[in-house]
Amino acid sequence: MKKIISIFILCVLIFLSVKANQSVIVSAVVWNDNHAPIILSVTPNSDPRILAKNKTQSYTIYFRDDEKDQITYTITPQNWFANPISGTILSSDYDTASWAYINFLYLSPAISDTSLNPNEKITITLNDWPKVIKKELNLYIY
Amino acid sequence: MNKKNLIIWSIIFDIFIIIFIVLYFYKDEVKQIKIENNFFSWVINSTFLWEKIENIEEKFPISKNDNIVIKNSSGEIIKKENIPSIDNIKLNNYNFNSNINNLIEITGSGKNLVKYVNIGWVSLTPINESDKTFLTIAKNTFNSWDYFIILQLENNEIATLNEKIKFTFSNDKVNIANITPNRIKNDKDTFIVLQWNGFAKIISMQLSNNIILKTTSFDIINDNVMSVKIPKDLEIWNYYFNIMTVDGITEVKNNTFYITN
Repeated sequence: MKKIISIFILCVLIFLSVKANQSVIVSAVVWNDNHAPIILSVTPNSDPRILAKNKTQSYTIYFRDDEKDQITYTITPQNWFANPISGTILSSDYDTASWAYINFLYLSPAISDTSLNPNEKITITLNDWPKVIKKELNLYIY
Repeated sequence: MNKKNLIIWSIIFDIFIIIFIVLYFYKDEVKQIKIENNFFSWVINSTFLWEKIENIEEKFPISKNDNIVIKNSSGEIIKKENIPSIDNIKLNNYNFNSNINNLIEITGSGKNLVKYVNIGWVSLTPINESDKTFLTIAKNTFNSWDYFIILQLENNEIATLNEKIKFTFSNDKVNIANITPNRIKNDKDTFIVLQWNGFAKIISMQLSNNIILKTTSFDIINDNVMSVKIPKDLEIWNYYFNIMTVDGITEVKNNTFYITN
């Protein structure tokens, strides 16, 4: 009787070990709960933008955010003037295609300093948790 | 005056009253009629005298609606134009940092009347770009203070804006001119973006001498811009940054952000 029970237990163990060796396919879908905004275009699109001293340049940045989230943005010229330097895009600012835009004005220096570094850089950020999107615009001031 | 005359004059007076009332209620129709008779012209013109008085009032409505309405003799509006009023001249913001170059927008219908803007001891000439007007203020011009804004108009009149402009300034090499957003909720981790000087040398950061931020929680984009992850569940407070660079530790108290619930 003991032999029969032992053989039975052994068979069960072999069966379980065989089952455990089988591969198991586990599939999981990870949802991206928030798409980062995508910068679609910058007007004017020339990079670097060549600009004389004491001149203004108006920029428009078009971007898309699928969720039409409220996004904060910053505009940081390396050396000279910009307006605005930050702001907020509200959900109501998007069009039906989830596009929105940021307008800002850049002003080059009025000084006639020959030692002026002609290379200027404007850094744009779009802050939409969990991503901060960065974009750099280059200018050449003469 | 006998009784008969009294009745006649009463009837004449009543007729005049009726004519005035009819003209008042049917003035638009009556205006279309060309009247040759001088007497009736006088009656009609007298009836429309109240309109002329209204026209005079409309020529001085600056405090009401900033409009001039010019009408022809038949009362039709032939020209309607805005009188620029200096009452609504404003700056788009009144808080600035003097560690950076500022481009400040002037708004209001009377903005084109402004010849100079005097802030403290500095006289600034506005610049016009399409339909917008701006002031340029070079960095390091003002110290931390509130300043009156005095406008010198094209007609050399002087006006003062109701609100004062406020500048903050830091002598430190590392300084923050702007925090975006500057009011966040503590229910989740949040990024804020800092602007402006000396970020490239940052080694570590703290909040209000208390909360140490992990080095992985801030991203230095360049010397002028960086993003910082503010952890959730912080206490509701107005926080400032302690920034450690290779040159030392700086308390940046002139630009703060709020955590709310």
